[in-house]
Order: sequence, then structure tokens, then C-alpha cells
Amino acid sequence: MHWYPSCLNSYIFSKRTHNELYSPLQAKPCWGSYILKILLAEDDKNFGIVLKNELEEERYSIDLVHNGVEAVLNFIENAYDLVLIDIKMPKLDGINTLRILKKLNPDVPAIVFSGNSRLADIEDAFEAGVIRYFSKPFVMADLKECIKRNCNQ
Amino acid sequence: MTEKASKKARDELEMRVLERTAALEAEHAFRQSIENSILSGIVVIDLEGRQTYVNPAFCKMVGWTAEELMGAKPPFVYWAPEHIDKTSEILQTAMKSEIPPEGVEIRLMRKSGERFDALLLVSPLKDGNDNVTGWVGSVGDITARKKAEEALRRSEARLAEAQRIAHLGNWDWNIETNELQWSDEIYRIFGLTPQEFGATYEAFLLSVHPDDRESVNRAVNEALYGMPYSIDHRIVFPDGTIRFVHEQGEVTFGESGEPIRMLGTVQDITEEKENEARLIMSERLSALGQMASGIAHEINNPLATISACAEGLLNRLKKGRPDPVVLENYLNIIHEEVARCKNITTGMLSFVREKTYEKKHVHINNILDKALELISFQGRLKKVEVIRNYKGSPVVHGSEGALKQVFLSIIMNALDAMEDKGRIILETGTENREAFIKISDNGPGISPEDAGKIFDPFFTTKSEKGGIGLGLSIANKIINDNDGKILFVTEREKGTTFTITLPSV
Repeated sequence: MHWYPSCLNSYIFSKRTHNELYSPLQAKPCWGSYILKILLAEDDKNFGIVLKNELEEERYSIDLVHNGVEAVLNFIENAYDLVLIDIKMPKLDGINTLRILKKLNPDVPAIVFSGNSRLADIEDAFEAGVIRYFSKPFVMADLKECIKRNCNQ
Repeated sequence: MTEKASKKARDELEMRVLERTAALEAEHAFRQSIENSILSGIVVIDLEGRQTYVNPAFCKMVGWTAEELMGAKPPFVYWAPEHIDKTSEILQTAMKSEIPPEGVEIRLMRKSGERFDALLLVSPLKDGNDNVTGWVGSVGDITARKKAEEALRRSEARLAEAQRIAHLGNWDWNIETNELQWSDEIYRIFGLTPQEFGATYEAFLLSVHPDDRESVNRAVNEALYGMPYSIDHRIVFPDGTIRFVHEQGEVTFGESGEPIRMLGTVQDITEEKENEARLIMSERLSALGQMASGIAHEINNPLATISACAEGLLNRLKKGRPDPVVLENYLNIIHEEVARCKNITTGMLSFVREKTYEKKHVHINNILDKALELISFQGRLKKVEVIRNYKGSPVVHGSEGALKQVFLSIIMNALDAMEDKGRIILETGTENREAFIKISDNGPGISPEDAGKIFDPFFTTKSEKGGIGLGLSIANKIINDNDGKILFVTEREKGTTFTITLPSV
């Protein structure tokens, strides 16, 4: 059993990395002039809208998707500077989505959040390579601060 | 003597010889037929132990011919070599006419080498002057009897072993004499020794837990009037330990219908009782755990949204550029999310309040709706069409919590089977003073090999997803406890329908 849908096999097992495929578009994030592109995967309708709205206020470009499969497909088609993922999502949950994204591009910074913070989920998230785990509800300023810190380097 | 006279005398003599010969032949034939019809082997030995006669039955028994055996001196060929000393001793005893009248058992050997057990009876052979001239031995093959005895001994041992393993004992009560016979295992089950037990019905009642004595006595009395006897009760050991037993019995009646005898079994079900209680508890805890996790998620999501809205609005205020459009949007969202939280807490409270599981008159439709609500909080009905087909409002006497658990188990199973996509039809109504609840899905159905096992405890097709196989078995128990029935029909690729019937109020 795989932890991702079989339709993604050809992408995941191709020898080429995400960067090789999309290197011309992969610009180095540069605070001030460059607009950071963020992939937001969140199935809760209202929270997705508010979060997107709030981050756009900070002059980020946000692509909002509602499940793991959409997230993976978007990630394949576009270059992102950061991914924000909700752990509990339909079709493909956040942890498995994250594993696929990290396989496509191991360097992409990832932040996850979840409504029921089970220890096992948190451990899985860090194992999959997240830089920060937020437990819902959380302070928006903390998230913005975290994004700023990780994308300025 | 004239020639005529001498001819007459000769004829007479000839006639006598002929008659005597015929008589001798008849006697010989008689003896022969008796010899042939005797099933025991007969052996005659003289004073020196030499065999002077063997009958056909003996020859057949040992496999040697009369010619081979006649005239032989001990040790005889049919003595098993490994028992030669013992057999020799028996012969000495026989030749002293000291074999007991009931005979002795000896081990002999057939010509084929096969050993067999025989019973030997010996009597002295005497002549006209009462002098002993030898001995007659009668040899009976008792192999079959020995085998039967051994088989009986083994089956008794196996029965005792089976009783020990199953913690099951059997008893036999002679009602007329009030004698009670217990198998060994019952003594173990009751923590008694045969010496401590009076072996009467009253002595048995003394071992029964005081609180259960009346109901046990009532059940036994009812059995004496022909009612089936099958009860669970507690017993108390001499040291005060309390155990659970299951009893089952049957009464035999005499010609005029009077009870004569009662046969029954006792089984120690203490472990089963304890496990049952533990399992119900763990099932409830695990259901509660799953629900808590689902509820946390369902509440934390709206809280996160509300918090983000409030923070966003505060930020805009601080920066001195409040946006009326954003303000209105966010306040609407906050309103929506608060309503969502309220629904969840309402549903949760109705579940928690039910913890005593007390029985009262309950409305089936309400309970079904509450069960559905709980499931929808877990986000499992987003792609499921739920059709409520309530005909009337059946009322039953039962516990809301327990019935909700039943409906939850069946609906969750349906959702698992449909992978949360499809259609669920809920039908309720009253028919012939029975309330019925039908829950149908359009999932893949239950395979014929699984269909017979779905109510078995621990049977699950979802072990890798953490299923422990108790949902339906507990549901079945709850419905049975409420004097109801739970049945299902299933068709591959078409779906499954569960029908529950309960006595209507």
C-alpha cells in the first residue's frame, strides 16, 4: 500500500527533481521586491478564506486548495516558496501530501496546522520535514512571523 | 445248539453290535457337535501337564492345529514368551487345583504372534474312583472386553479432561432420594472437596450466592414443572471468593408426570463475565476517544477561524484603515462559526447525559436523528445522501444511549463500506405492535463468507483501520436485551439493509 494515489506515481518516481523541471521559474525569494508564492491547503471553507485574505494583506500570493490531491497537482504545475497544510483533509491527508511535496522538492519550507493535535500527527509532521506545527486555534501574528523568518534567509 | 439256534444267536449279536455302533455314532456326533459349538477353548492336560485334548474353538483361538498341540508338554507354544514365568506359575497353581472359581486372566499368543487376553477356568478331571487324572481348562478370549474397558476408561479420562479445560461439570440429581452426584470438575468450580459437600440440593443452595438463592430456587422449581432450566448465577467459595456460573438442566418425568431425576451442567463463566464487562467498557472508551478527537477537530476549526477574523480586524483598526467590507464579511463568518460550535456542544451534551443508560419511553426517530448528527460532526456525511423515510413516530421502552450506540454502529459500518460516498435510507414505523427501523446503504454488500460472522465478537474486516469487531456484536446484544431482533439482507454491489424490530409501547 502506498500513502499517495497511484495517479501520482509517474511524478514521484521520475528521476528528475522539481527544480530540474521548473528551474527557469524558480526565483530566489527576496524580501521587498519579490512576492512570495504560497500554497495553502485547507479544507475548512471559512478558515481558508480568512487565512488567504489575511496573508494577502501581507502581500503574499496565495493559491488556496481544499484537499491533498489538489495540493500535489498545484505543486507540480507551479513553483512555491512555502507550503501551508492542514493535517486533516479529505482524499489525501496533510502528512501524506507533505511527504509527496518533499519528494518533489525537498527544500520547500512547510508549515502545518491541525485541529486535533495528536502527538502521533505532530511526530509524523516533523519526520516529514515541517519547520513548524501550529495547533488550531493559533495567533495569526505567530504564523506571519514564522513565514517571514523562514523566507528571509 | 441247533444250527437254527446258533444262527439266531449270531443274528441277535449282530443286531446288538449294529445298535451299539449306531448309539456310539450318535453319541460321538452329539459330542462332536457340542465340541464344535462351544465358543470357549477347552484344553485337557494329564498329571504330567501333557496336553491330551484340545477342542476346535481353542485351535481356532490360538491358530495351531489339534495335531500340533496334542501330546505337547509345557511350556506350550501359545504362551507369550515375555509372560512365560507367570503363565508357568499359573499352570502350577492349576495342577494343584488352586485356581479360584472365578478364574484367572492370562496373556496368550496366537500363531501369528498377536497377543491376547484370556480368562482361564480350571476344574480337575477324575476317574470312576474319584482319582484326579488331569485337569480341564476352559479358555475364553476377553480381548474385546478388555478393549471396551480400556476405551471406557479413556473416554472417562477424556471427559474429565474436557470438563477441566472447559470449566464445565455435570450433575445428576435423584429427586426422589434427594441424592446429588457431582462430577469432579463441579467440586473444583465450587471450590469444595467431596468431604465438604453434603451432596443434596439444599447443600448446593448453600453454595449459591445469598442474593441469587431465591432466583435459582425459583428456576429449579419451574424446571420441575417442565420449564427450561438455563440460568446464570453467582456462587460463593468457603473462603468468600465470588464466581459466576452458567447452569443448564433437564428434568426426567415419571409415568404419572412426577419429576424423578434432573440432569444438568455447570460452567464457570467468571472470566467471560469479566471480559464482557471490560470489553463494553473499552469499546465505550474507544468510541469516546474517537468522538473526542472528532469533536476537538470540529470545534478547533471554527475557533481558529473566529480567532483569525478577530485578529485581522484588530490589525486593521490598529493600522487605522478599517475596511467596512472586510468587517462585514468577517463578522458574518464569526456568526456562522459560533452557530457551528453550538450545534456540536448540543449534540455532545445529549451523548454525555446518557451515561446511566436508564430505560424509559424513547422516540426512535429522535435517536436516529441524534446518531446522524454525531456522525455528521465527524464530517462523514458530506458526500452521502441521507433519505429519512419516517412513517409515524415509533416509541419503545429502552435506553436512548444504548439504542443510539446500535444505530451508530450500523450507520458507521454502512459509511465504512461505502467509503463515505453514496446513499443511506432510514425507514421507521410500527407494524403489529412492533417498532421497526430499517437502515439501508447502497455499498458493496457483505460477502457470503462474512455474512454469517458479522455478529461474532472480534470479527472485523477493518482490522488494519483499527476495527476490533465489537460494534455489531454489542449492537446485537443490546437489541436482544431489549427483547428485539436484528436482521440483515445483503446483495453484492447493491447494498445492505439492516432491520431492527423492538416491542412497541
